[in-house]
Amino acid sequence: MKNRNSFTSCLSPRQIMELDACTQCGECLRNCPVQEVTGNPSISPPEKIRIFREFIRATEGVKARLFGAGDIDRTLLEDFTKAVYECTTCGACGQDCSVGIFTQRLWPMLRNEMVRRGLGPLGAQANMPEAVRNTGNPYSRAAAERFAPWRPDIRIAARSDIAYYAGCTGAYEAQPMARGDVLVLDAIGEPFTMLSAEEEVCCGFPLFITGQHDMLGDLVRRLVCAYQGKGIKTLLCSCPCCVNFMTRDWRPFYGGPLPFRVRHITQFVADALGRGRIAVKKELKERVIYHDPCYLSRGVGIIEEPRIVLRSIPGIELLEFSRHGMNSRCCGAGGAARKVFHENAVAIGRLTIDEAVDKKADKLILGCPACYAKVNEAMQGNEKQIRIVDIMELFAAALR
Amino acid sequence: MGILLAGGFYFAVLVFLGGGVSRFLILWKTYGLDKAVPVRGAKSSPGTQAKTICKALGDTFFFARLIRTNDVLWPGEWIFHVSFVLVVLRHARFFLAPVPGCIAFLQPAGIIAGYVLPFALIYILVVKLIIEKRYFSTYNFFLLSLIFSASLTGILMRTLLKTDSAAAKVFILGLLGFRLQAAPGGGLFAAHFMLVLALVLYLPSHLFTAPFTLLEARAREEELKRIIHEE
Repeated sequence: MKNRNSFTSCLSPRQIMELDACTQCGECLRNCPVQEVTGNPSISPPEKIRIFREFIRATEGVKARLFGAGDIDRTLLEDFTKAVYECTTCGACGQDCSVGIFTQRLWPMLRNEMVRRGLGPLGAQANMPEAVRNTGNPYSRAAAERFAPWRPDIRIAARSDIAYYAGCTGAYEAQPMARGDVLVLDAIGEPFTMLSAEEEVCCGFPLFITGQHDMLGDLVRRLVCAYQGKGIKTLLCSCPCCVNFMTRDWRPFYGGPLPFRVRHITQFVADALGRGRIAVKKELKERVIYHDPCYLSRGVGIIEEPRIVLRSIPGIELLEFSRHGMNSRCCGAGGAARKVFHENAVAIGRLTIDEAVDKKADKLILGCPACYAKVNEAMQGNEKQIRIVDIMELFAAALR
Repeated sequence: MGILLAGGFYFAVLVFLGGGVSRFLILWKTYGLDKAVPVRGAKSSPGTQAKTICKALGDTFFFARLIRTNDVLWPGEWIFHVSFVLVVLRHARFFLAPVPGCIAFLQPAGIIAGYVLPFALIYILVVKLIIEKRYFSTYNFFLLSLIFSASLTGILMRTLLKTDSAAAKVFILGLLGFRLQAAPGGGLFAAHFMLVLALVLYLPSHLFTAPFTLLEARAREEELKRIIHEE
């Protein structure tokens, strides 16, 4: 693709206004996890926006309209691509933005533009579409391994009002989390169904977040139709990335309203606790600290429910990170950046570990499979050590 | 000198308007195209919508989002922006004949704002460069330097090296009516005028779009409560 072509074809009018609205104030650098570990302002949100505005100006500005679009330096394009992919898309910059830019959705669309121009994605991210096409998941793992290693011997209904989606990262990379989910659902006692290992394919989030949108329509329609065939009314999922993508983006890719509602598992469990469908009797005398996943808290506003679930365990003392809820710090795994910028991801993950240890927590509670996989990796070789547990893994243990 | 300033004036106005038209065309082109626009929560009730608008107005006029993240920088930024608006409104008397009552009423406040403005800029620079020692974009540094210089030349014209404001008005009205008149004598007016023209050329686009994004952000914040939660 020629560098003189429009840079705005992947953006909505709102996003174009957002690009124009950036004041370059730099407040967004304050809590940017990538800035925390790299200290490199040239890859910061305002610099990315400034450069992208230059691209738009060079191709569609007054001078370009009067005298023709100028060519954009290839190195600048490549540097921008690297910067936009080094981001974890956690959205902390948008939370701090003095003009309220919705960065959690702006960055993926800028990535989409870079993919369109043949500059993105980077490294291993480029293998994901083929992996999903061939195996149904971005890890190129066999469908036979999707549920077998972790799913306990519990009754899964053939059809039900409720379905559980394990998600690829939960099923392959954070199995205690997916196991905890189904154990808790089984304990609640309401029948639930699941798709078969062959039917339960990637939700599309990893492709969306890396800007590779070509397969998304097919993938989303395939999953929605499969769940529709099971007659479900509620789709439960514990992976924040999947939940976020299903809630916010499945509808446009499906092409209409979804025939069921999507709920995060903590909403379902908090509701079951409220209705007395489940109660924890076992006491756990522990100080635990809960990390809010970015795509759950900032993404869809699930902040209180995980805390309701944790507080329902007798004896638990719940601690909070200095940055929690809407202001939570990224674990380092977000935006598929961990697949390419491994060192950043580990360094960011260690910030969370270190704070949890400094607060004298016995356990670090996570609620996201990507966080679970990456923070466990960050723990290896780290000076400070803490036991990492998924929220449903802990809750399931308390039910036993 | 008058011809040079007039040429600069028309060039700056054309570029400014061209930039506006260009932005409008970009928005027009993208409007309604099939893109992955994320779903948001259900629309709020009219009462909540009114509250959202009030909050967005607070964000626009009092920089409420900035207070949340940086309460040290906020006074400087807020005073700078308010002073800037008052100074611009005070200068409207050069472009209007007769001068409307509201503009005449704002003149004393505009004069005070003219003196406050450079101090607000110094405060911002001190906070950014000395106290916080954080990211400061080259563009913002250039812009603040430009406004600071325009502000200083303006103060000098009013105090030490007085400029004939009646002649300035005749010159500006002449520009607006395409009947060129002589520019006021002295290099200070020319310098001040050129600095302001440069400011028009580099005027930040957030002045026009930020109110919309602030409203959007508040609406999004409100709709987030209903995106996955029950009504």
